[in-house]
Amino acid sequence: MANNQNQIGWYYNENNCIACRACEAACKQEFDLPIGVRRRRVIIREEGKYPNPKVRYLSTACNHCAEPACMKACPVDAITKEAQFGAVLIDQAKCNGCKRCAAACPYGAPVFNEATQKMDKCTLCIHRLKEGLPPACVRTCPGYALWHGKLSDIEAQTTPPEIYRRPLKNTLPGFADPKLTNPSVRFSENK
Amino acid sequence: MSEDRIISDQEESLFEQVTGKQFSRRSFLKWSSVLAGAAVASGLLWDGKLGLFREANAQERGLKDGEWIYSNCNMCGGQSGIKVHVVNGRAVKIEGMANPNNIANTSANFEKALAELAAVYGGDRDAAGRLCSKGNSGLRTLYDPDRLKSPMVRVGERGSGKWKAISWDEAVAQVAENLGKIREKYGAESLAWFSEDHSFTHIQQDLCKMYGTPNYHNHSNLCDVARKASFKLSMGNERPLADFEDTAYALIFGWNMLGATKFIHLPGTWNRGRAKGARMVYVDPFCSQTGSKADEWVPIRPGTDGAFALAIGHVLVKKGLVNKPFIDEWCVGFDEYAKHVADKTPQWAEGITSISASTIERIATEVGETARAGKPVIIDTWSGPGHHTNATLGGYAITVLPALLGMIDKPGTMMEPHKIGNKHQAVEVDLASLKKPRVDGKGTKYLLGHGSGIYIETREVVLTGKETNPGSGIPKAGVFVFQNFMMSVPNTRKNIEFFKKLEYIVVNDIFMSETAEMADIVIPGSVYLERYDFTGYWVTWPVLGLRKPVVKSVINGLTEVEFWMAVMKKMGLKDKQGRSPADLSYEAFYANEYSPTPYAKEQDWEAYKKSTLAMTGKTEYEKFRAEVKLPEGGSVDGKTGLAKDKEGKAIGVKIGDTIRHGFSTPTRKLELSSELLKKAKLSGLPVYSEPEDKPTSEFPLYLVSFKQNEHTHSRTFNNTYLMEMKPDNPLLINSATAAKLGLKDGDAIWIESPYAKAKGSVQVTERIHPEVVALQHGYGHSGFGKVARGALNKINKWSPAGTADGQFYAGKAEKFSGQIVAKEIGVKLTKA
Repeated sequence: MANNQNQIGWYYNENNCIACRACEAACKQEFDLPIGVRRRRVIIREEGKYPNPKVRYLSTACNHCAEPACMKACPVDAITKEAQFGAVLIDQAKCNGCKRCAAACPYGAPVFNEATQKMDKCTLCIHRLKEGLPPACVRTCPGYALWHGKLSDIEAQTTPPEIYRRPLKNTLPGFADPKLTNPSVRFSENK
Repeated sequence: MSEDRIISDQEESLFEQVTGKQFSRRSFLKWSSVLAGAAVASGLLWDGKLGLFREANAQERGLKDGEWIYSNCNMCGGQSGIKVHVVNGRAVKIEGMANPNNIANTSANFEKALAELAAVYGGDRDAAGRLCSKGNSGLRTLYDPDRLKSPMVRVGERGSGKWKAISWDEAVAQVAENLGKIREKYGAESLAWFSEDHSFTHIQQDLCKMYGTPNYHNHSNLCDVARKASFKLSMGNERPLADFEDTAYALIFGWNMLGATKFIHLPGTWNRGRAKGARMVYVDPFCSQTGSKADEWVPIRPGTDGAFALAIGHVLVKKGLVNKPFIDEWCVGFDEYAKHVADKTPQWAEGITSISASTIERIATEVGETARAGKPVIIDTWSGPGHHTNATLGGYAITVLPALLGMIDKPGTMMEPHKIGNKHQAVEVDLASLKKPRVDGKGTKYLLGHGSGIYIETREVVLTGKETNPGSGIPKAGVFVFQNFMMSVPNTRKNIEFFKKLEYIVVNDIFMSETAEMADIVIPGSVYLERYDFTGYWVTWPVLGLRKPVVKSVINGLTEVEFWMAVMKKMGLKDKQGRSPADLSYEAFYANEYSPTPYAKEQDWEAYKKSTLAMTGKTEYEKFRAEVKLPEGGSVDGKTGLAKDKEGKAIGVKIGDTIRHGFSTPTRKLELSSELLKKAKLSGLPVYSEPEDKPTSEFPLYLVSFKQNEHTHSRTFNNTYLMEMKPDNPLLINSATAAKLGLKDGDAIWIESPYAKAKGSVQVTERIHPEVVALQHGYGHSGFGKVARGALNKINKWSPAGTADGQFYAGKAEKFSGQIVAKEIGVKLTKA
């Protein structure tokens, strides 16, 4: 799957993110997620000292990796990589809630759903992608910081429109080493 | 019945919590035969564990069932376009719909950004419209199980929490009867009315008029009336708007414009502006979300922004960086102003603001040189400096700066919006009580008092029993609509005393708020997805939005407008022609106000009701330069150039040989020394005075409050999504200050001011001035519901609901505008 030409990925432009958490809430309402299950999260970090603090934001969810660590860790083969968009999915019927995927994932994407006693995570909104719609989080981002697209287009910087993008990076401070799993996400940093 | 899901008891209770539905297996059996057919057709899911049909989520149901209905958000006053997915009468998802509030505030930028974004999403223009976290959480409020479900009348002592549910008819009858009694006993003026803004206010104003009380108040007094007054003094326009997308340099004083996302277009417009090279300098004691995105954050002592601004003026004048040709044509009072700022040196301001003289000099020079190079500059301010005792004149020192640079009403500068709203058919009433002076000193004690009234003064009159305006009378009854006075008005102890002194209190709200707890009768309110409203936008060309019911009332109740119309009818309130807004049906009331507008020529009511968005014309620039023809009988003053019509009303100002529209100031020019102030026998200049309630040796730290995007006022705090993101509001404190006090992150503390002592917790940060601590406003509920009271807080057991900020403040009104002072006091912290 490493070279799936159809792989859909994220583009996160930190420069445009104001940590408003609209992406988190859009995800919650798209899936009617119970309290405690947060498939997307905005992480806020401070760097530097007063009076020159740098505030760093990172909106993160499952990165639908080319080599998903969660998939290898799953003892019941509940995790698959879907072919059409390259989404990494947890089969709820097979999942036994053992949490090994959560331990294996460098990005903290799978979370335990107390209600179902199973693991839960971002589905890349493939139900929306199939209808030609953007993932719920992307659809709502007020700063136009979060985008999706074919990973190849994101890498070629043919998406998003020029005014919303900046020079591309493979990682941001606070993000796990992308070499571990080859995640389908690219970044731009603060100006 | 596409799938059978296993679901736990916990999820069952979550289901109830989230949906507000109390389905039992027994009631299901009763319903099942009726529902089964419809359920299969509509894609409801059979839930084996719950033993009922439930709505499918988006993934399960597919996206094509049901319908998408357009409307306008009202999780805050921003009113972004929304489209709501409704399946079987139930709202299941809210997404953004492109309207100016969530795209851009000039028409050209709106069209350009919309087209570009729509192209990314296959031509879907709706997809360009975005929503913040609050907008995405609206359904959690609509279906909040803690909503008030029926009118309730007090049966125990005030505040004892003992209530009896009554019918809507009874509620209408009781309110009508009791308001009637108050009027009979004390006169109509003894009713004081308080309302949230932007929603159903017209009907309330009509009711007040027909009832006969001039004492109507609304939200603005708690918000930005000091900013309004500051801009009114300099440019006559109370609410100019910055065009961030086209600017080169923005100097922002105390406005978390990117984070307090009411104008949700701002993150997008600012990001586009920044991509084109705009630079921002952000002045605030707290490095808010906006500060985090600025090119430079300038920490300042609270309430000293005016001194910084005067020093900027000093540098601009000294270095000759002011726009002299523009000033000669369009400003008055420059010589006076120049003399005033001659000694307001950066060194002078350094001692007051804590900003180094060299930084002040550099920023002033950058601003001046950017403008000199012909690049657009924005200098703007909002509620940071605006919630202090010196706000109006301190703000005035800021609002003269764009005038000095000629940065007014051009692309990338402070714009004068052109608004056309709905045509409210105001009632005409001739009651003697309406001619009585307002109770709150608007226009007398408070020279620049706004139409929204002065809450603090009204409270003070009730508490002291002494009239501020002789003959105003003393309020004896209060009506509070969609407004939590207890949490919103500073000094909670005084609020409690105020409520105790009122003889009759009606509260109309969606929750049992802290204010509702003090009421005699509580009327459930509507959530925005259940009602009509017109929505104006803070954009620069005429746009009118419509909010409409996308679902039936979840509580089977009346909307605010319907309830107050019913009270009007019951009381027999009419205007002098025997008419009343209540003569119209609910929908007709809105159609009637839309039809006479210019928008109606482009879309009739039915079409508008569907689209919910009407706009006309384009953003126009430098409207003050528009030529005006002198009407017959008009005159031009030889000395000032002021042009008047034959009735003596100013219509423009002569510049050179041409009469031009000018500004809405008394001189029709930008005033660097205010005629309004001079007329009141005051200095016309932006005179800086120290904040009155600075820290003392006993209370050594400045306390300020701030807002962030997750919440609106104090009203969104029972929303599960929003409270899961941030369940409480730890006190922000600089790491050096925390170290001195021996405090570390997460510590439990007592926060104490001269007015209150309360529990809190500590968040240590590098993002705040070392002399300042800060609380996010709106937390610390004791009412509402379990979520607002801290049920989702798994970490902080000491103060799980957070800490209410309002209790710590003195509870003053700013002396010119009457603005509540909600960011000024000294506090001390002790480890708990």
